Amino acid sequence: MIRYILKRIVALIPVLLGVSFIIFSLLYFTPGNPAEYMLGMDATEENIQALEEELGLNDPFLVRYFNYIKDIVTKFDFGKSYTTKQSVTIEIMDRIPATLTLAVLSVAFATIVGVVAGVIAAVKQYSIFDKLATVIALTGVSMPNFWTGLMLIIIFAVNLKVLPPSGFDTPLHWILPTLTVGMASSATIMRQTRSAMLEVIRQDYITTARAKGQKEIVIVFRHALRNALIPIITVVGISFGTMLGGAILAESIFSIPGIGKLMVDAINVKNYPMVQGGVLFIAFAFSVVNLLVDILYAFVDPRIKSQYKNSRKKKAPAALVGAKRGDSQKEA
Amino acid sequence: MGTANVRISPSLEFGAVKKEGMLRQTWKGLKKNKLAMVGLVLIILLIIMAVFADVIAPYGVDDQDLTQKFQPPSMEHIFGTDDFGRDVFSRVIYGSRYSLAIGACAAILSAAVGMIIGSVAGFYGGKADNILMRLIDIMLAIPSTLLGISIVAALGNGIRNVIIAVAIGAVPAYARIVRASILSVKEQEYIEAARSIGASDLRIIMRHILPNCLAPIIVQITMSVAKAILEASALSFIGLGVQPPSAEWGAMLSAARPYFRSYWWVMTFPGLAIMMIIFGLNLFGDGLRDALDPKLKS
Repeated sequence: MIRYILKRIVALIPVLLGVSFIIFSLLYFTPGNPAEYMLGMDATEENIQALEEELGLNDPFLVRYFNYIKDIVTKFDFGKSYTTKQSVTIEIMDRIPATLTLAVLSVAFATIVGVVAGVIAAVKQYSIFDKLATVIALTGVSMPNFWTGLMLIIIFAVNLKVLPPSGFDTPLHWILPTLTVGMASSATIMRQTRSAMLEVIRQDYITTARAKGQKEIVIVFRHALRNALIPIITVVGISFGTMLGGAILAESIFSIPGIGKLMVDAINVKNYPMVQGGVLFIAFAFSVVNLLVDILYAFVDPRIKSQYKNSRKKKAPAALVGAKRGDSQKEA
Repeated sequence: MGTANVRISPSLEFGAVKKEGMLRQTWKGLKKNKLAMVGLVLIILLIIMAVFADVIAPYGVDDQDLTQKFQPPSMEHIFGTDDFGRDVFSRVIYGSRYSLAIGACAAILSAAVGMIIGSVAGFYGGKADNILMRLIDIMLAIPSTLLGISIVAALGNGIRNVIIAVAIGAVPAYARIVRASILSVKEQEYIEAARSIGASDLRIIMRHILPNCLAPIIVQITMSVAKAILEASALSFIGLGVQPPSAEWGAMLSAARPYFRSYWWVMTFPGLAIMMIIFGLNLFGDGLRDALDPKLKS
């Protein structure tokens, strides 16, 4: 198991290098000169050239990329923000708490609502609740989440005046952004939970449990839900990526001082080091979550755990996970 | 769809097992599914809106009337008017053209690229598979909204770049689905048969393998049209995609943002339009998946 985890961590390195290369090249070919942006309208030609030299903007592409990676690896230095002249690492660190809070709250909200609604819908298949939940879930995945956010502001902040429209200072401020980011994902999780539960509930061992007089609630949660957990965990992991994307928009709608807002602002003023740092950070966070999800499989499903133990070649679990992820891409 | 036109021979008319084409069978399954039919109706409505926008819209897309600024919904302007006194209903109607174009083009582009990558990886395996799939892993490590934002930031604004950005983000899903499907049919005997009569790789992939993997790809296309429309509107909303005064729905929302607290209608209706079409595509996609699933056919 530990060997598998280590192997996965090592496998992260080429992925993150690839991400950094793609983002670096994308921004390299972006039109516009950052030096001109930094100095403003009344900069002289000499000033611009001097700054270009200082920032290393005149070096060839590969040299610049190599230096960028070298600084990250040796000094954990992601460069300096063009606008504030501060270290990108520090600026991103400052913004982590808000984004992390929003992400954790949204995942928790989406998972609890999605799993509970999905279980009830599956247990009471074809009931009013099932139909209602399905329609609400379909509506939920169909709404653009930035629009949901704005509608929530109109309803709860402007008309009812019960919740603040922007900011992220108190728990009251957290409610609308969490709903905005979590709503669509809770719908996806609900649908996945429902179909996974329906598949399990028809199995023989559920009938056996019923036959021996087990309480229904124990059957649902201990016998059925535990066996339906793998696809549910998969979809929660994938939703995390969607939620990170949604958080970018939500942060800008609700003026939350998080990484998403930092990045959108940075893109608008061509602050490349900030954009690169932000993308790398989010890709890293996303990859770590994916790794955690894969490790979680082993804890949920003893069959997968025994695969790790028995086989030297760990191809099987990876293939299983890969196939699952391919499937649920459709859901996302 | 090689099996779509199965000729019914006379013998089959006498109670023998009747073979049906995949298209007809799917359509039969779909017709039974009421929700999928609702979805289909919504999609057809969007197409009609886009094609006949000039006829349906009561006002021109850019007709301004500054004396009629921010009129609430009324008989004259059923969705109200915006900050330039433009009729929101007419602009929503015209906006369907952007959504349809972006959704369709992005889905076709990403399907084409994803199918090529998935086919090569699945069919040849080995090194090609390894390299291509690692590339897909890298793309999957960046949340698609973020990837879209970065690509549009690099390429610049405009509808063409939005389509490219959204399409690139959708490639990994196609590549994985096609690869998985190819792996499942590659070892079948009819592929071996085709190879034994000297068919080229390209012919085997195009004529024998892909037609047998069509079901998941068709479902994915329906879903990715929805995703493309959603992501494109998000890009336009944060000011990176289609720019106002274009009547693209996301761009309309972006332009309405400064006023939405006082005038709810400028924000509400373009969003509802996006919601309706995504809703329709999702319903239809779900129905299609069920209708194409051989497990559910019995």
